[in-house]
Amino acid sequence: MIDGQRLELWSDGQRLVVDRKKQPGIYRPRVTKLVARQEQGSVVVFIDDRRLEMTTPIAVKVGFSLCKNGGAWLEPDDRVLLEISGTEILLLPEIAVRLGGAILRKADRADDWQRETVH
Amino acid sequence: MIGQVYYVHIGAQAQTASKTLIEIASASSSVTLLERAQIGQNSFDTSENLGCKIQLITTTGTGTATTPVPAEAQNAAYGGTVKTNMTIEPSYTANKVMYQSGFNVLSGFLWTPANDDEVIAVAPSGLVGIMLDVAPSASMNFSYGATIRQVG
Repeated sequence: MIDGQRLELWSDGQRLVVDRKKQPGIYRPRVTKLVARQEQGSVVVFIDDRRLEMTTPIAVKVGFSLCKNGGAWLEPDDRVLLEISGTEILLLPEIAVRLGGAILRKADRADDWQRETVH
Repeated sequence: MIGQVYYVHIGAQAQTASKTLIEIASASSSVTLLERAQIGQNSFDTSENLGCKIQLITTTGTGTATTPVPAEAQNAAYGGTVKTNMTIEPSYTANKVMYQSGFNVLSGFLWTPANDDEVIAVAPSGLVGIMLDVAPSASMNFSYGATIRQVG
């Protein structure tokens, strides 16, 4: 097992943070829609009514960080935090790994699109 | 293409028992995506229903160290560890069966994700196993393998 690591960066004018945070007690999901999608040369994540567009380098960093924090040592009540410009989304570790993996695959497809399209 | 793709393949290996055929351990600094898993055999000519599963692992087992082959020759070696033909079973993580299915030994088993969201992501230092979870009625020569992608 590994330790989690905080990631903080800017993308599409928004501040992104991937970290861990404690949420004592019962897990209360606050997100009903969580979708990762490739749109041409970008990766877009929809979180309820928020839309976050990422370039492929940013998507790889975010996807990797979600997998890393989701697979790291966790203490009781630890969740994986995905923060977008101050809005916090707390994910169960396994969901963070799955979302991170999906973002990495979408980044791969977006990268392919760029190679096929941009000359 | 993001990351590096590697193949793990074992050919015509006699199996008589239920066991983990492949154990993949992601490196501590990279994510591994499982993109294909397959099991087949070429020595038994009668239909027989066996089963297999893909499940996350908590504690590694003992098996034969196997070097994944890079899809592109100039790629670096896979950073994690792959074991095959386990002699001591790993400890599987409860409630983390990612896929489980029966298959006819004459047809073999092949899993590929139906879409990007079904790709099995193995976190850094995480482990996943591909297991023949039903014992064959007689010794069969199994060929099996996986395609993995290392990112990071």
